[in-house]
Amino acid sequence: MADSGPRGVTVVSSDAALTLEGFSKTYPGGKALDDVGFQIFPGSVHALLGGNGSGKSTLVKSLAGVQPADPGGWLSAGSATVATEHLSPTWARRHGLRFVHQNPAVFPGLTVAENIAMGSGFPGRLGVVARRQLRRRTQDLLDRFDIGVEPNELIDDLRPADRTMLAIARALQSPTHDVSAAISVLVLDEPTAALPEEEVAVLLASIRRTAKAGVAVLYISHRLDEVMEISDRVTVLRDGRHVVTEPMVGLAESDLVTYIVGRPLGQLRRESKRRSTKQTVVEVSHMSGGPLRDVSFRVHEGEIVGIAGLLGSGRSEILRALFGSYPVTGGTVKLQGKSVALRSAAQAMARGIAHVPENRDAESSFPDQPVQHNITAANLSPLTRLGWIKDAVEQRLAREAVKAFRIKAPDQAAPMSSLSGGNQQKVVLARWLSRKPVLLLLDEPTQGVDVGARADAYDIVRTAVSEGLSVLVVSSDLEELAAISDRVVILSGGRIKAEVSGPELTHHRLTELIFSTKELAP
Amino acid sequence: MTSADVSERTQIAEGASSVPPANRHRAALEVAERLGLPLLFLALIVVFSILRPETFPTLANARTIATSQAVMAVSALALLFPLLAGRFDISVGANVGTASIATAAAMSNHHLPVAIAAGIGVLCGCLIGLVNGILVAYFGIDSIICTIGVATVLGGVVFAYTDGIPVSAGISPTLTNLSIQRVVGIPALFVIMVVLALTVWAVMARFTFGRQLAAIGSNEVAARLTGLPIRRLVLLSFVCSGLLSGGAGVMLVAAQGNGNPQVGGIAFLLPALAAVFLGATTIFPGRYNVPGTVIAILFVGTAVSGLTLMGAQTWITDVFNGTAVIVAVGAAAAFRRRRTGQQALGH
Repeated sequence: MADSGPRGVTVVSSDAALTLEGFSKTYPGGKALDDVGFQIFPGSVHALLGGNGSGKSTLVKSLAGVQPADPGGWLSAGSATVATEHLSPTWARRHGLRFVHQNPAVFPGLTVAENIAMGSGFPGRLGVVARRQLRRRTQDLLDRFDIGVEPNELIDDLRPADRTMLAIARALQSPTHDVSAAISVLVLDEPTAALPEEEVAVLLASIRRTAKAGVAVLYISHRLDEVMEISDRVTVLRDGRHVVTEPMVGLAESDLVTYIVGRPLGQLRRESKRRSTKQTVVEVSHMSGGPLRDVSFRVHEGEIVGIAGLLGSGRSEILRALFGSYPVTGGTVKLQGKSVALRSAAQAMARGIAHVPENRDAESSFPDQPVQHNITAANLSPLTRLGWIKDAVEQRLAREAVKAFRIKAPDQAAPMSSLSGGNQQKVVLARWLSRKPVLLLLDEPTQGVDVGARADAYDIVRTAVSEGLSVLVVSSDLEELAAISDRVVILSGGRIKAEVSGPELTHHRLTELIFSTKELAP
Repeated sequence: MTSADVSERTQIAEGASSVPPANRHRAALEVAERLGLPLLFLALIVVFSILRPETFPTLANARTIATSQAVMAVSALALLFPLLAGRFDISVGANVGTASIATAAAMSNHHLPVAIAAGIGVLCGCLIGLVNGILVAYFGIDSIICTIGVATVLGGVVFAYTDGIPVSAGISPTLTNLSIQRVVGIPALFVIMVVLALTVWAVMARFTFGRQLAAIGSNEVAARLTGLPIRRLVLLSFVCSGLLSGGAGVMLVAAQGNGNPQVGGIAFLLPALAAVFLGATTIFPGRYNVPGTVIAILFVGTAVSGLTLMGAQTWITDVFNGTAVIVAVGAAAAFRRRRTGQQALGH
């Protein structure tokens, strides 16, 4: 193989659509990218793989010119070459590079044709849109990409895969409304992350057709099965370094996992469940709904159970379903031995369940309200008589919580938004733990939380656990998940496919299990 | 005093003197913000007193303003409940007008005793609030649009019932005398307004209901995820708005001595709307609050009264009220952004 090997491009082929050489990016904390180089060819799909923090996103941002790489490397597209530090969005655009991001920006409420025109301008004069011309131009584009929708359809009525495809088509139309030589490289950043399973195949087929038309596609994804299905070649990054660039043919999934994780894949088997003598607090049986398929597990008293999985695997949905804020279509939930119906947050709270949602700003913070009101928001009844809030009691409870949870606030009457992210998260934890729940659901509890506050947050949770609280925690930070959990279940495509505990519970092991898509023998 | 006390004091003193100028500046700004409107109000009184020493700084004028602004202040209080939950009730003006006609007509056309007539006015307001609440909370109609629609319908109904002619015969003097009666020298209507304001303040600031509405207004998703019954609470906020509008309607009959179909509607509502937003820039800046609202109403009323005594044309009132709404909303939004650190809309 001429162009494979540990250093990537050893033979620079001149017919490449894109050649990267010596891409590095230094942040104050260290190197996010270290001398990465490879080539992408027209008419092929080239996969870019790597775990969290491997440098994929940094590379894409450098390519797009959004965040220029360190000086020293270069990029060539077709006949043009540019030094990495001079790479700008304008250069990338002029030389036929196009980018479509995870959640493509489409405009709901507008038609397909109008969405397309947002990228290329509306035809017509003096601001009067030439509707017929717009329609024809859109139809041409839809035909070329084989997207089975009508120009006049509302974007909201499209299936998700078509919406993504439309964003791709919009990115690929050249200024002269002619998809041809002008566009050389299409970079797709996790295009399937937000798509349901049945939509993925539709999108993949469309991407293949686009590549067949002569475009070089750089395809970034976490999902190995997809990558193996669609790609001709693959580049793997690890810790900012180039690991390998190889043709996909002949590579097994285990090879890819080895490249990504950095060591050979261990034998995969379902771990034997550690029998707990403690009482079962929650028992979920055959839960289905949305992405969830037949999910069953238990959490015991005083246990922290982690849920690991890729974006879209249904991790958050499990927590939301247990909190009555996500509709399930099947299965049962037993709480302390009793079957319970959880159809609203109020019902779940009455059963002793507490939920710290993933997105603090959107789902748990009351930004303009005082810190003390944020602390007591879910637990007003103990300090209320006939609807009257006892101010002195509330002040005291808030003061105690600020102290116990080490919340750094200028003043407990200050608005919540004046606190740092970490301290806001501690406020939310204080809100829910003050209810003395039996089951605490934590969804990405340390996202956007600094290291110090993170340690505080886990100290707080551990203390509550030692007093009998059970915790179900979702986190993308596998190192953290391995460190805090007694057990971790691995979720993939809405199913639980493995469970890890004891000495095997390491973040390497979790990474392996998450990236492997094999069904596991029991 | 022990030496420990002394050293602590020294530390505090040092702490105080070492406050960076930027912080001191901010603290000064905060005080100015809290007391800005009351100070402006005082300045206004001083200026008009100098310009019109014969007519403006008189007890009679103060009582006139207090009486005439009492109804407006209760209307503004009505707006507060839905606003706290992030909704507008534009129909408050029309609701006040409708309730006043209902009260007057109960006495005039149906010869009912004053207490029952007042009860009918308040009940009428509550029912209109209930309809608003159902439409907004359960049918999910945008509150501004919905209440504009309801206000327009009410205007039509009132006109159909009265033919546009005021209902003035047979109004109980017990009610109309309220406009001239005084409690320890203070106009009775003003006293009623103060009692209602204190009640609303208690409900908003000290009862779970007010706290829950504020949570919804702050972050509806988070409020739902803390188990609050959003729809029921929003519905109730409109019922409270209707209840106060009904009360304001009864007070309107007392103040004017009749039920006037020309009064009510959006122009009537503007000073109240201005007051609610102006109120949110003072006392507790960035939050809708009762004392701020009452001060703002008196400010607006006094300004209009002063301008009238200066011989200004009547259209000045409309221009002043309209401008006040825009300035107040802008200032309230700016203060809120500064407190919560959010950005204004980009380009």
